[in-house]
Amino acid sequence: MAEDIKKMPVGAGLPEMPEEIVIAPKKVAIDWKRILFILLGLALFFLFYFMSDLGDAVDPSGKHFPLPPQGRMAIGLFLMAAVWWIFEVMPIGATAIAIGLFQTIFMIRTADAALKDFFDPSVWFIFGSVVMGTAFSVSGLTKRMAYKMLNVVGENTNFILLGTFLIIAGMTLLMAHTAVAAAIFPLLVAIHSLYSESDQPTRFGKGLFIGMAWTAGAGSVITFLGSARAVAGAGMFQKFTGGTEIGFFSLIWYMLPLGALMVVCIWLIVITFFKPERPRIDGLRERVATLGKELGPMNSKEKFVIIMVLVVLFLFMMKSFSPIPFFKDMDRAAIMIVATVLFFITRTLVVEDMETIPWNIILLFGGAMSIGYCLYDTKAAEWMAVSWVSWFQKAPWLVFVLAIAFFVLCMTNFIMNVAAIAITLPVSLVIARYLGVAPEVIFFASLATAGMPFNLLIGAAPNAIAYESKQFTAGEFFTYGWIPSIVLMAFLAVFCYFIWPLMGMPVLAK
Amino acid sequence: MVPLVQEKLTEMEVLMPNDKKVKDLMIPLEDYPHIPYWFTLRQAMAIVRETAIKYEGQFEPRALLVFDEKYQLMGILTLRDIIKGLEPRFMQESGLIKADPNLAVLMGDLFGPGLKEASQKPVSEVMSPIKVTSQGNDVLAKAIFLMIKENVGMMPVIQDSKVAGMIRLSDLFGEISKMVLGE
Repeated sequence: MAEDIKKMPVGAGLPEMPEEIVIAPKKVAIDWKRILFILLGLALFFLFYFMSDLGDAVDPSGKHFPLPPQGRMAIGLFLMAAVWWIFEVMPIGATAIAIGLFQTIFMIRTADAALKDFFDPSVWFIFGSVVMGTAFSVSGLTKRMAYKMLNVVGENTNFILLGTFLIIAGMTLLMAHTAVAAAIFPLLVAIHSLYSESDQPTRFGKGLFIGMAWTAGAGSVITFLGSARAVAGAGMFQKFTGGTEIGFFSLIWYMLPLGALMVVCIWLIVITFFKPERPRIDGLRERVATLGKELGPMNSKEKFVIIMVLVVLFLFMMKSFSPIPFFKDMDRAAIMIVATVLFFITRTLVVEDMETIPWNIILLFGGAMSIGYCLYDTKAAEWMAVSWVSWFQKAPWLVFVLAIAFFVLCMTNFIMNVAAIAITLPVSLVIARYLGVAPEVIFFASLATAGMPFNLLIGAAPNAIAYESKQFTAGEFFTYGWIPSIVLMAFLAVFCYFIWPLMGMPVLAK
Repeated sequence: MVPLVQEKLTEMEVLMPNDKKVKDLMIPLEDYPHIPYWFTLRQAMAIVRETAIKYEGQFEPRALLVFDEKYQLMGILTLRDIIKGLEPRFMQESGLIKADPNLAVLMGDLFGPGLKEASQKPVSEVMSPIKVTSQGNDVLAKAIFLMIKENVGMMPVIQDSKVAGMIRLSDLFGEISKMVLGE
């Protein structure tokens, strides 16, 4: 037999079989681009590290703000982190670790200050919300909700799009938008394969997946559970404004109208620009019913997850509205971790689930908190803000707020949105004081744009997940992304000027 | 699981005759079809079928050996690798996306669209690289331990830094059977 195999024609290319065969050496490719950006980041840091002191910033009243050496180094560190994050020279969580490391070894802040930020209560909150998302997926609740939705919307393609967007936005009210996108994605691919027999992209497919990414962002701005950026931002806001807390329900109160409006607009944009080729997907309802049957009745795990969500929401309500000090003084993070601990106590989640916690993401948030606080503590944020304040001096407050929001919108497309918030908030809140703008309006406007990177795939995990569908190119995503981005800016102007003040948001400093 | 396996294997070391070495059980490289790394999955599948026909179903290769242009062993292409390579995109898992086999209910035909295109992939994209090797003089228990630990069905046997042959889990299983059931 061996002789026969030897004689088998195995195609062109292989030479005569030699007497002795060795294992092929592993090919090692040097990634020059990565090395270049690592060096660029380091060069920026050391440029600021060794630079002589920069001049004072002078505010309109003539007050001088010196930039201490630590502040100068913090700016260098911030630039290095930005380069490393944008070009992903290493896992984003590892870049976050570098932020802690550099602060410590170059004496920018004490180890105690720099490294404790990595387990700031906001980061614990994020941890809790990640666990909540895991519990949803593990229990099968996510699937059940998705099948129910498909059963309700039926087979009309426009309504499938609407139903999909509503369920995505609805789920982002309760869990991180990344988890939502990751859970829904396989289902959408299956729906699309039923819609089109070919492997070629379709208009329906483009709309379905691009819309999935956009609505995941739009829905995630509404509650603290939808993304970590709001929690991280609220943590910073509290620190920079001397203790003003953004309540769980005040965030929903202001963000729900804007988020919901954006979701509906995204659907209208999608059915206009990516009009489905076919009006119906025949047979979808029947197959979804089969899937639903396979799930069977709701199991105890699913029921427990729902109970936990209700418990968490109840505790947040008590914190916001009850006069009882025990509830009122309860920390946001503690409320989230109540659910985490109970999931493990009841074995809804097991140690294997604990080990799936995405440390890369948790560390990223820790690093974002650390660099944000670092810019603030070393007076770098204040110095930058005062340096730029003259640009906005003559501008009406609305222009300033929209400029900040637009800046965050551009940044959030390039870097993780929590990092965009970490970079802008410290500076913009200081500038706001000079222009007589209330910090709240800056915070909410920045948060709205931070959650909606509509142009670049690297802007948010749901964008990258949607791209896996191969239904659209990065160029298409970029081009069409301008439509919802412009719509968002227009809405934001209306909200800042009319709607939010009507709802009770302070926009001008007292 | 691993400590248990370790314990069992230590027992096995005692039970298994230590005079038998991996080289005594290995099979020659020629027992498997050889293909270059630029072959497509489709070509690889044709070779699997051809071989099966040739031996009238008596022998159906479970794997193909993949070589580079210098005839150095690059990897092993198992049937599982071929199937994974042909999977439609929705089954592709990443760090975030977990595939859900139940969703196959929603799909049209088996493997849906894109199957033809996927079959044009070069085998180098889906083959299993050589993760683990065994020395010709290794005792059988060590080879079993390595294969269980790395979850592979076969591995190259190295002697004097050359590939001398392949050792398969099925051959090792035969030895264990003899111990359990008698000759």
